[in-house]
Amino acid sequence: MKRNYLGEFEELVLLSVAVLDGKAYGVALLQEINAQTDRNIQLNQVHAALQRLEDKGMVASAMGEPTAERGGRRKRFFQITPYGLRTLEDIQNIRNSFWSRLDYPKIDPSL
Amino acid sequence: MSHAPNQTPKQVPKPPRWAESFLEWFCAPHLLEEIQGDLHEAFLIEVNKLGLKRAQFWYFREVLGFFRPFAIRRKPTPYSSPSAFHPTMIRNYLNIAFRNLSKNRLFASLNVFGLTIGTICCLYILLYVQNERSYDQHHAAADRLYRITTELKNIGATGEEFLNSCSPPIAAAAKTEFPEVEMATRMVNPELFGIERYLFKVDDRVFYEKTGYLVDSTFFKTFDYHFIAGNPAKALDAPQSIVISEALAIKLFNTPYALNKTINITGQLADEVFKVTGVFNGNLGNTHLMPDFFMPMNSRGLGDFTRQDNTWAGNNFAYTYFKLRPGSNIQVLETKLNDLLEHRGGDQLRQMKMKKILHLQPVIAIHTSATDGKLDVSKGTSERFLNMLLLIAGFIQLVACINFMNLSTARSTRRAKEVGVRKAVGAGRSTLIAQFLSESMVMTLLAVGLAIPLVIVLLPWLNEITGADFRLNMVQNGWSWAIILGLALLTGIISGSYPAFYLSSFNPLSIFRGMKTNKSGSGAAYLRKSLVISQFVIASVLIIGALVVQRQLNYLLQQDMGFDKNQKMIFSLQMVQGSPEVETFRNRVSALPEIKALAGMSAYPGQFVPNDISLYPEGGNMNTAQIIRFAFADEHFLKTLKIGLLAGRNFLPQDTAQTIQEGRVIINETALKKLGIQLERAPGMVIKSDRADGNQFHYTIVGVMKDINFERMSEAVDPYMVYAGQVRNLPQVVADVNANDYAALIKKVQVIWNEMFPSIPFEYKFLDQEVANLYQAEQVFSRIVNAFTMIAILISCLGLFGLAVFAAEQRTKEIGIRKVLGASVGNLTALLAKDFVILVMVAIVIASPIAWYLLNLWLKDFAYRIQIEWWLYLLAGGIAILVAFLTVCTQSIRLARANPIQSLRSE
Repeated sequence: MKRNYLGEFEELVLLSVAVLDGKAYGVALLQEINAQTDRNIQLNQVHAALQRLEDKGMVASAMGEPTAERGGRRKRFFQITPYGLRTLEDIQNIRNSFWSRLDYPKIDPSL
Repeated sequence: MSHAPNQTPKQVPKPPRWAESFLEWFCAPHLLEEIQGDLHEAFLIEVNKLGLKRAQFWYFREVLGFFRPFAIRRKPTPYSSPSAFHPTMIRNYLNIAFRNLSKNRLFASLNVFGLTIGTICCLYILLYVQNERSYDQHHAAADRLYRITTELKNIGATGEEFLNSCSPPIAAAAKTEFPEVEMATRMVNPELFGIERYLFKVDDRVFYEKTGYLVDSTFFKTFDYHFIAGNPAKALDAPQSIVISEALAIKLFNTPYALNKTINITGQLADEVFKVTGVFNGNLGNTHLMPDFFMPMNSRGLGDFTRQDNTWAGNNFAYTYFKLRPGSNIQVLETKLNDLLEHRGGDQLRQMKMKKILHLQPVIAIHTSATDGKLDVSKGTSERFLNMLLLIAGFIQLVACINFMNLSTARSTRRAKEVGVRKAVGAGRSTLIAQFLSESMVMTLLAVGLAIPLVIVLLPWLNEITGADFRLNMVQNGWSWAIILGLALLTGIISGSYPAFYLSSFNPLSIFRGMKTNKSGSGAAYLRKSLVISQFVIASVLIIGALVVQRQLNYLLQQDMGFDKNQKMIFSLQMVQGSPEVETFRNRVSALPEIKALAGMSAYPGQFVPNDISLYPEGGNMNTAQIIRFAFADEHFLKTLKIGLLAGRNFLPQDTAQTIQEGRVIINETALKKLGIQLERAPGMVIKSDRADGNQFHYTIVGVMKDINFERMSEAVDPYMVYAGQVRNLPQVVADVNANDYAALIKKVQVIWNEMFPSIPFEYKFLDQEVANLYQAEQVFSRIVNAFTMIAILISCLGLFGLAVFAAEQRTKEIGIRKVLGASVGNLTALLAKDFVILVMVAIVIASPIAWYLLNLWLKDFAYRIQIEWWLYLLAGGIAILVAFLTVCTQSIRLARANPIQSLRSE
């Protein structure tokens, strides 16, 4: 199957974008990922990943309306594209097919 | 957003300001809003979580994290211009640069000419300095080679003395006692013992050879020399062996492969046979030890004397070198050396009432610290002198760069339109800067391209100015090319950057609206004036410097030295010293009618005086003794050199007839004062010296002479005396001559010489020339300053000329109207010249104190020196103004004489 390669972190970001469904922007994604994964990632990593995803056509973005809370600066909201969603599904399917074949091997206690 | 309860809503915490600025600077504009917004939002969350301080740190780390291509890269637009460094653009720059140069031939040639001269200067100095600093770098253990230097206290006029040599036994003792010393070697220069030359005899041909050193057999294991024949490790093992330079081998044997050939040498001893065991040349690199030949220490005469010498205090004549083991601690070794000196020579030192400290000097630093100590092996230089040369060369190049800046900005109105059109069709500032910089780079490269062959052609002449003797080895020496490239880049950037930034800053709108440059035009004119002033400050400092150095040199040469140096000839009879032939020769020469008087000396004034002794008067002891330097002379010495006698009598023939137990001496005033003897009581007084073996030497003062400057006049006169010596033992014969036809006189003496000493080449010297040679360094300095002054003036005037042409062009109409209204040519010339002459005057006012300071720094090294009088500044100023005025006048007169109809009719 040919598709764009997606790194683990990109996949996480893409999933978060999908989950937040239209309310995804830098800080929201940062908090979401940090909360879900218990990691301490940086904002610039999120931005870099978002830009790569957008270049690959897996997310689309649009500027929001100005709000008072960040000095009148607008947010950029990200939305997953059908292509992005399909990619996520592909990944999941592959994993599922592996998991379904996994017959919990006997773990050698000596190991 | 919720705020922490203790925070008032008004004081919203702010991220660090400079992190913000940094972000705003690098971040692509189309991303800035969202990134900054996200950052601020997240920052407030962090403040609540971590507190302000740590949140600010967090913010800073985040901003740094954004410093990545994805955030920096600007959004491409369909109208973007190509990069300023695109190959097509670079080709375009060069194209435009060449077009501009060929369009403005006058300005281009003024610039290129100035830059070429400056570059020749700079390049030569850079290569010269690099060559001077390359000395002794080629030895395999270069960084582990050290020389012992000696610091003496309680001696001489100043009370201390630094010698580049030390006592003979130190080398061997250090080698056995200190594990750090891998190799120790000594060098003895026979010149210090009055052996100024050797007579070499090969078959029936004879040659005088000057520089030869006695060295220990470890010498070639310490230093690396390139041997074209022989084995360096064993060359000096056997007595009577000699290692000669390639040049000497060719001179003596017509071949560099002179191994095992024999030479009869008369120097310290008569007619010894030496066998050539090695031939070396200087191909490995420069070194401060580059004599014509090396002889082993294991030889008779001076070699025996050095090897058997066990003096630890005096006899500081042996140049001692160590090769240390890697990782040796120099400070520790220095302390250990001085402990050793105290242990072995402490008693001797106390007896001679001397304090002596030994130091270790890196061999690589020897050549460039030549003025630090006395008894130099070879002519070196000083870091100070090299740095000063570099400074002056830099200034000269700066003067040439200023020309480019001034001429480019002065003509900026002409190019304003070009800049406007370029900007209107989309040239960015960086493109314009690159455009103008490439013009200056083309100019500089042209100049450098012209300068390189010129330096090669002019090298002998330039070497004559600096007294240097180095050849350019461009092919081998990668450094030279690096220097040239660096110089070209630096010059291009310095001269081009200001015009580039200035010209590219024009606002196209104001250019097209009024055809006037913006208000910064006056700023540029102001800067132009300041640059002209700084050019002439440099030129004026150099003019004052040239005048002062010249005057000081003349002062040194013309100052009464206490003896008459004019019309004195010197014949050296060192080869036959001690034989009765000396007397015969003297008698035959003094019989010549042209010879008024004739005296023999061991060292004539101006020659190095090697002997000294500690003496004390009656009632004193060695603790009150003074070190007095002395030479041997006969009873004709005072008369021949016209030295004044203050008290007592001259030597009598019986004083010098034979060696007497109690020496007769004539001491100088300084020695008298140092010994604390009253003038009237001096004649007949006995002064004494205790020897280490318990004996005492006694000297009777028969007379007191006036102080004579027997050394360079940068030194105050040392205590000095002449010791009555037997005529046959006085090798330097000084003749007071009264002749109109020197050639005839020299012929006559030569006839006598050839009759008496057919196997020894005839040579003679003039005392005034020998004295002048003492000031070789000053003469070189004077020549360099003169040359630099000329060049600085020339380049400054080129620039001034260009500016005058420009000013004249701009004021053509004004001049025309003035002329119609009745102004004379004189009026108009003055009008145009005034602006420039005022600048030069300001320059002189600024230059005078700078010159005063720098020159006093130089003068303070001389015990006898001139005062810098006020009229020197006026004279220098006069010269600068005159030159500037004449330069400007060439233009203004042409303009003032032009027919006003022509200037007024056009347009």
